[in-house]
Amino acid sequence: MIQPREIRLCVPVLARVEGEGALDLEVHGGRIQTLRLRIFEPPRLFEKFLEGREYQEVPDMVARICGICPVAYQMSAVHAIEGVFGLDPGPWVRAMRRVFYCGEWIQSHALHIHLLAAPDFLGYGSAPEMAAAHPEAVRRGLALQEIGNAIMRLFGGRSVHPVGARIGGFHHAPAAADVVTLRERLRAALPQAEALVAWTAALPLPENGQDFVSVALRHPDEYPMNEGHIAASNGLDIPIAEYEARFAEHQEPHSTALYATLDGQPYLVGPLARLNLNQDRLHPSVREALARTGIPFPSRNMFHSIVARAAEIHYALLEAIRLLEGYREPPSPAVEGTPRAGTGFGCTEAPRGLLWHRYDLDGDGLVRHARIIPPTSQNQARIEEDLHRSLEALGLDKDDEALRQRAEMVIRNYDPCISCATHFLTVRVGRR
Amino acid sequence: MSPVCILGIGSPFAGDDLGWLLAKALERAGLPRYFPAGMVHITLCDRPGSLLLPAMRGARLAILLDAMRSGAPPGTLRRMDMLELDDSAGLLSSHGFGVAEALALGRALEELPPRVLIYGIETGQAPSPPPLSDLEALLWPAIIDDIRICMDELRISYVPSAGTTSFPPVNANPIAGEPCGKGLVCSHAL
Repeated sequence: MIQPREIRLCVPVLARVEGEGALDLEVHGGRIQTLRLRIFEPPRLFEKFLEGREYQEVPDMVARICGICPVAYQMSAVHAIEGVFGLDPGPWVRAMRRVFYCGEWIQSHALHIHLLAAPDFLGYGSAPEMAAAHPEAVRRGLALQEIGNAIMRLFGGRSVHPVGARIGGFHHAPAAADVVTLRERLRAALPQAEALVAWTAALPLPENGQDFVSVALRHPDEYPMNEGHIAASNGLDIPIAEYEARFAEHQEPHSTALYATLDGQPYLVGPLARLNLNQDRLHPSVREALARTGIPFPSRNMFHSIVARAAEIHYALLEAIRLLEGYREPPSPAVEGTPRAGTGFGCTEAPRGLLWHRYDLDGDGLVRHARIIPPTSQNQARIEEDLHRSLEALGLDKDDEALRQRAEMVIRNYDPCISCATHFLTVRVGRR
Repeated sequence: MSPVCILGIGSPFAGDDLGWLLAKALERAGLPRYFPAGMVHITLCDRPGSLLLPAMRGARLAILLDAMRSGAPPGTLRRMDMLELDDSAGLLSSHGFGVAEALALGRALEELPPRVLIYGIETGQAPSPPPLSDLEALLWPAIIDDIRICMDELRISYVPSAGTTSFPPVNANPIAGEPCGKGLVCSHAL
């Protein structure tokens, strides 16, 4: 007779994620009794910091929430505030914001694929270990990341916490000559991006079919970035202003991040959710590159997220090239707005998924109340659900090290940004 | 790329700004002007992660100024060669990919400058930074020597930049405080 093991596993600090978190796992009688993704990074209280500040300050303040996806925070904020003012910045600003966002997707996804996630699938403990065996792959990742950063520097002055965005547009329009140079770099990187889609699909990704609801923006004509309705694979299709009516956040004692649910259920945001809902909005050449992988999308294998990230890098390069064709410096890089009281909503697609903002402003344009719902807090319940299923599928009779490795792989696959969500992994496994 | 790049690592915010403050102090004291034009370049890096590699590319000597938490008394200035860096160095990273990871990646890819030196400043759990003047006084002569050795290796003869007439005076530190011997681990209790 096999004696059932009682397992108590603790991963005290999770590596290769943004921020600080841990995982507690207890298995009694061959069943998971406790599984907690503990996010213990202290709350950062950005929403409170924003209260009483002038609307012009908001883009630079929210950019400080994340060193990896500052553009997303800036874009959700500027859209929300422009919504209050009834301000339309026009087609030049709209197009260049999209290019700016492409830069962030490229750098964030390239970083995650090559330095954070791929070592898991190739069996290395770290990116440097992997780099010794796969130097060309890692060099490609760093080169793509640098291209994304170059886009962000062009519009934001710098790639970390850029400062170029403002309500109504940008503080500065890039010089035409600089845009020409950048566009040539983007074109030259296209073969690398296309090869990356095939490379990620060829990785030994575990089979991991699960039922989950994908949530992402959906736009009539575009692969979603800055604009669209909130859509879900369960048929949901609502304006961004109605987010609070269907999505709820709640506190769990073990986490300084709030948990978000859709109609009380966990859901997925991020590249796989976006691709599952918006494959028809990709450029044809990206769809062809995906078709050549043989992976059917929409996919229910969460580990196909890395392929989705690669496809989005390919897409973002093509989209930025398209939008920068025929670039001309505008008479003014921004449109002035007139403050007025009201409530505005911004919802854009950060690299890690839906990023929803709400601002209540007074007549002087001062922030009275702010609410920011980042992607990682939206994915938190889904990550715990995935961990339950993935660890049971792996087999709870596996040794602690195998369970820890798979748990970390599952969590990193979501590219969680704990710093943003603190409101992250040390694994603690208890067996009894 | 200048043969010598000095990189202040951190961010503009208190608690994570020690590397920046020291890099700014070296710039303010005119360190690059004591050397041939284009020899020394000082840069501030905002939590660069893997971007540290392109920031050092082409340099012969990279000097990183960064906060450190190794268990030493707060205010300790520790000079480390990349070759002796390991997990115990305690370089701080607020994200999943910090200076130590970037340097390890650079070493695996054989993309590091021939010499990388890290000046780690122990922060401990202290709420306020170590006295900057003391740290600056420790840093100045050590870095002067590092650059001088680099110039000797490159067989660059000293030609002062405009406005300077002599080699930077190691024992007449223009920043502040008393000079300290190069390579020493010096501790200042807070």
